[in-house]
Amino acid sequence: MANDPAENPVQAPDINKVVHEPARLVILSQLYVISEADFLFIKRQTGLTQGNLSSHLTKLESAGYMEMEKKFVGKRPRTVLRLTVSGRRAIDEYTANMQHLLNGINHNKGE
Amino acid sequence: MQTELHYYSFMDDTAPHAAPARPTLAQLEHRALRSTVTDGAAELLLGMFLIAFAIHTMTDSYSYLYIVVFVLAVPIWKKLRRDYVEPRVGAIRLGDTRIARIRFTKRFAVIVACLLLLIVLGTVVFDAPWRELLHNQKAMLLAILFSIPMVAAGLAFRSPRFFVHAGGLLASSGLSVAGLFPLGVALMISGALIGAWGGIRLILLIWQHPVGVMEIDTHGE
Repeated sequence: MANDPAENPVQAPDINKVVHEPARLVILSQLYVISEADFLFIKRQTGLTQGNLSSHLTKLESAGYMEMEKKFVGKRPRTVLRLTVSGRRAIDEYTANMQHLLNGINHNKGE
Repeated sequence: MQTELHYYSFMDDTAPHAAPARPTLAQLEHRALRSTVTDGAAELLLGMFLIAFAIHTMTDSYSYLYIVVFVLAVPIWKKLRRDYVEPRVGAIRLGDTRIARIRFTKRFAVIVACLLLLIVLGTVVFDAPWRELLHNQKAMLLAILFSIPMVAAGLAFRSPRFFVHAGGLLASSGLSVAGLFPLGVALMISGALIGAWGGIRLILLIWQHPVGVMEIDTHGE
C-alpha cells in the first residue's frame, strides 16, 4: 500500500549538520553579513573562547565553507576570515530548508 | 543604576538596544557597521578641527591650523585605527552593498556641503545678492556646514550619537546667533565637548582592552 508508513517512511529534513551546530551558525551568520573579519572580531562578537573558536573555524574550513588568510599588519599577525561561495550557498540552502520545515509546522499548528 | 543604563542606551553603540542577545542577520550587519565607528577616533579629530577653526575665527596667529588638521585628519584616523583600535577590538571589511551605500551617502553629503559652502562664501567673501540677508547668520551657516559630515556619518553608520553631536553644534551656534557669545566660542565649546567625548572613549577602549596574542590555533583545543 502506498500509504503504509513502513514502505514510505518520512524523510529526515535535509539539514546540514556543519551549519546547524549553534556556535558555527553564529560564526557563519557573522561572516555572512560582511565581506571579511579578523579572528579577534569574531571572537569578541561570538563570545567563544579562543580554543573553541579555533576548533569551529578549522571544521568550517575543512568543509570548504570558509577560508583563512594569515598576514601581518605592521608587526602584528592577523588571521582574516571570509566565507567561500560554497559557504554562502550552504547558509542559503540551510535557511531554505529550515524555512520549509518550519512553514510546515506553522501550517499544521492551526489544524 | 537605571539612569546609567539610559545614558548608555542613548549614546553607546554597544548598548543593549544596539546589541540584542539573539539578533537577526540585519541587526548583526548593523552591529558590525557600528563597530567601525565606535572607538571615538572620528570625534576626537572632528573636535580638533572645530577647535582649530575656532582659533582661526578668534585670532590670525594660527589662521591655517584648521587646514593642517583637515588634511591630516584621515591619515591620523587610519593610523589610530590600525595601531590602537583594531588590535583591541578586531577589524572587518563591510559587504559590497553596504560600502556602496556609504559611498552614496558620502557623495550626497559632499554635494550638499559644496552648495552650502558656495552660499557661505557668497555671504562672507563675495558680494552675492543674498549677502545682506544672510550676513548675520554666518555662525549658523558654518554650523550647518560642519554638521553635514556628522549627519552623513550618522546616516551612513546608523549611529545616533553623530546626530547628537550635530545637534549640539547647531544649538551652540544658535546661542551664538542669539548674541550670547561669539562664533569662535561656540565652535570652541562644541569642539572641546565632541573632542573630549571621542578622546575619553578612545582612552577607555585602549585601557579596557589590552592587546593580547589572539591568533588562531589550527590544531584546535
